[in-house]
Amino acid sequence: MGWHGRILRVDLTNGVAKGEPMNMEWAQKYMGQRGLASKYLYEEIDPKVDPLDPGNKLIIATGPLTGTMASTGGRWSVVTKGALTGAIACSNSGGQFGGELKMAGWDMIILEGKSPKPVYLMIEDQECHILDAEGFIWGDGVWDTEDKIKARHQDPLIRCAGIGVAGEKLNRYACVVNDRDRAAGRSGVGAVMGSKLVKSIAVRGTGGVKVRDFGVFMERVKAARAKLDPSEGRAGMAASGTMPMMDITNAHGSLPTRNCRQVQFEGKNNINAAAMKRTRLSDSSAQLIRNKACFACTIGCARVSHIDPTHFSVQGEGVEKYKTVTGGLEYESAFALGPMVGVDDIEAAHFANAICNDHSMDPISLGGTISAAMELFELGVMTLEDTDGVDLRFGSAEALVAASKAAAYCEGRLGEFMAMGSKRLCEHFGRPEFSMTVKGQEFAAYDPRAMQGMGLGYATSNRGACHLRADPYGDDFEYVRPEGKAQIVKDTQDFISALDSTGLCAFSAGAFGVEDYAGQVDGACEGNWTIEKFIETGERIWNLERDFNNRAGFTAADDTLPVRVLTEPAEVGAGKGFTTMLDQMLPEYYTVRGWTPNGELGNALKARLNL
Amino acid sequence: MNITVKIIGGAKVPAGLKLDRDGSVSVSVEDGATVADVLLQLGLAETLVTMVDSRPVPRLDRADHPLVDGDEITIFPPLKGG
Repeated sequence: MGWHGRILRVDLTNGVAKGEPMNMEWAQKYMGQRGLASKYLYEEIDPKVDPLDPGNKLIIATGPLTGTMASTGGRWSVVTKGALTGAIACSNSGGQFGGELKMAGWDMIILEGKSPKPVYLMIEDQECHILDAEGFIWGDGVWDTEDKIKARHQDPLIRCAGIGVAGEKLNRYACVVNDRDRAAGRSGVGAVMGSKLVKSIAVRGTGGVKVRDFGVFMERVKAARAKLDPSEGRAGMAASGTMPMMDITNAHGSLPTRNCRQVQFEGKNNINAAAMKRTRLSDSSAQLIRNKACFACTIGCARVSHIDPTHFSVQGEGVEKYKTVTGGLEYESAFALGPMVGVDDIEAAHFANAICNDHSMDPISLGGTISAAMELFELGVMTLEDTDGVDLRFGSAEALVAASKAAAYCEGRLGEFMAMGSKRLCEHFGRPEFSMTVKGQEFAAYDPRAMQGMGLGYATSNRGACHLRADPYGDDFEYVRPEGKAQIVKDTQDFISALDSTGLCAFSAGAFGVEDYAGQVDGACEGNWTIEKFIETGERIWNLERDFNNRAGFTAADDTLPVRVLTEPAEVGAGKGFTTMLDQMLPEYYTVRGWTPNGELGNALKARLNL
Repeated sequence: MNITVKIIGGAKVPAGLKLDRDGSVSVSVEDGATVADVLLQLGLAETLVTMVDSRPVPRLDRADHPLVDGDEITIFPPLKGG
């Protein structure tokens, strides 16, 4: 148990939704959520398919602990071939949607084909209706969509996951947003949803989740919570979310600034955790109002914020709704819409983040795309004609707001360029070196010159540059050297692959040990989930994803970083004088992975992992 | 001698230690004091990350890293993710 053993398969082409049993043999090998959905994707699609072709599939997946009383058990994932990257994409979200889906009795939803017209799904426990979205919610933002669906079906407890206009118009880094401000954010999973003409998945569940042994399960849940609840990390996350990281990376010299030209940002005091809490003169209020938690979470890291109502971005027509109280900046969005674009206007960053939530864009990729465009513009490669007259310079809050709106609506020449993502944008202008991406996905908020392990993690991440696919943080903050990073990156990639398949949140890892994850899964599920089985499952998942990418056409040549961080040393901070020493780390990584020098899985490895 | 200690990133500050708005405090320490000595003197956790004048001083090296007058130690928790 833990699992329901039920999948909802939706044939959009023919308008048929049917339940089917889940492959429980695969569940024993891939657990759930990221792992199990990746296995289904691996088995069911041609890895060379165009991500926006009807032949691609979009899988919404929960884990065995989603919807249970395990702390942070509200996670769910979207797995598909990513529109931004062309690589396997697994984008993870929280909020209430995942728990609701589980309560409705489903472990996964597989969307296949393409609807002949815009639709949304209405799932009420075991019933699923495919309903018209045209003339109702197609063309709306995520927020209005959710309000309208709840009103039409007369149930305020419906939970929605869907896309705004950016997803409809196939912005390459469109994401899937649920519960207004939680998002399966990365790799363009929302563009895939848009390509299938699916606007939203609405779900209402009134059942529960059974576990294998309730007594054992609750004993382990309580033991894990006994570690989490009093931990300093939990208290810090509740108070300030992830925002304190900005002060840390700035001091460390690993805060990507102005498209990674610099590694520290002189304006960070205007856009950090303290700035969010500073009382404004205009309305005698701080931007930050309080924190909030996802389903079953006892951390509560999310920010609830509101913009300065006098800020220029919320004056005029069509932007009134962005004055509302909504999900606020977190470190990744603050970095991307702040230092990365050289902007220290926290209200402008909040606006850009809000429009990301409303119209389903990944703020990391949005910021990375705008920063690349700013560099091209300042070099004269992009012109005012290309930007529809926007003076797209680093540091301009007005440019940030204009580019964010253009990207959200994919409007005008600027919108067309912004919707490409930085890789396609820079290639279009013949300057690919200015795209700070790996496999087409924009860097997260850690410069890989001061953080060498993060550089290796970016280069080898199966979904493109990502800060949540490996955990080299502790070692990276202390040691700027290539030695030892390969093993750390490999081991933590495997661990996180398993964690992402449980239904729990990665932020629990500040207190939970591997024994807590394996123990809780074992309490909920059949199959004797030992620590060894848990870790081996993670390694199997990582290698399955890699094999998918290899079959899709990715090679060792794609395990690389932008030339900037490989050739231009950092000028200050811990990484002063260093470039990312990928040439020293990558061969060692392949060795510890047991891969060939070409980055491929050998038969012995496949046999050991029973792939 | 006097050094500056800067505590950032939400690190737990010992009771009685009053920091400036930027998280810094001037501290008087014995001549020849090491980074480890300063953590001990201020009652700061060993798990925190330390940097001296923008260079990391790993936990294992703190006892062998003597300070000089005017040094600045930056201290933060080993946060992850974001």
